[in-house]
Amino acid sequence: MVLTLGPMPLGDAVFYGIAFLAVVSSILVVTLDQLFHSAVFLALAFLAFGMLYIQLGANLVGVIQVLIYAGAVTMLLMFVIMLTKSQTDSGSLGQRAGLFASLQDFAWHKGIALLIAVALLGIMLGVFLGVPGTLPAATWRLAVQPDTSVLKLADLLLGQFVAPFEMASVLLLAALIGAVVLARTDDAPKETPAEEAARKAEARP
Amino acid sequence: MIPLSHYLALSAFVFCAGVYGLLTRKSALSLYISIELLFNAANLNFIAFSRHIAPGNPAGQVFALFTIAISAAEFGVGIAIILLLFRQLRTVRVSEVAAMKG
Repeated sequence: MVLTLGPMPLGDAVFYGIAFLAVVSSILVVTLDQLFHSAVFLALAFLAFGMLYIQLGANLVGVIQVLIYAGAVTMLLMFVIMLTKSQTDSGSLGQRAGLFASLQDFAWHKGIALLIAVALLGIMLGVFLGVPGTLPAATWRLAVQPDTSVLKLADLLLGQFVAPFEMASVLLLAALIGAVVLARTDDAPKETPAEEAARKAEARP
Repeated sequence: MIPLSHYLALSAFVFCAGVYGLLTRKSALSLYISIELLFNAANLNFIAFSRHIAPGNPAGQVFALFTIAISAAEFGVGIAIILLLFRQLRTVRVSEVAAMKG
């Protein structure tokens, strides 16, 4: 028996609910003026995408999406927002500017940007909506079945794609070292003339 | 059954939201947020196509995994650059960082 919600099966309804969540939160991400609010809705969009991946059968990618994007990236982003004291995108301070301050000072360049985005969306929808094929919605199983997709993924990653896999690890190492080198503060506390004299006196026998 | 085109349409919506953000936002951090939206839209396409074309073969998921790894690397370096920028110029607004002095 297939569970239904109104006219459509429950699996389809879940997809459209998640899709609505993803679209709304990603629109809020680019329109909210407070950067912190933006980051929170970005986390929500990441979670929605993770749910979609799991619904598509890509369980491992969905879990990694939640761990890396919703967890690490969002957390890092919030730290940097606080570290750089950049509260709002428009540069106005605090709540006085209003929730959608970045929309209120509507300038001509925003109109052009909106035009470009909508035109791009039109082109993409025109192409994509003609793509044939259907995908199965998530099935609702009571019995827990072993998930073999992760095994296949491991075979692929360490078999056919082992060279890019190793290169990705080298890239991550290089990025780690690069980030440390860039963010390092190399202004060691300068010694005062008195300390310098004391050090020289100590060095002399 | 959900048409493949609905997944692609969803990713197109999110992608275009990211493009709008890239074109209008002023803070470098907002630009990073928009770029992350673009990455996710692309990932959804990879996985939906993988599921449609080869349901038993998760090779498309490998591409999504690599995208996630590369975007994490890019994000780390970018955050370091933004912190450096803030330390040097006391601002992260890209319009005020027009001149790159050595």
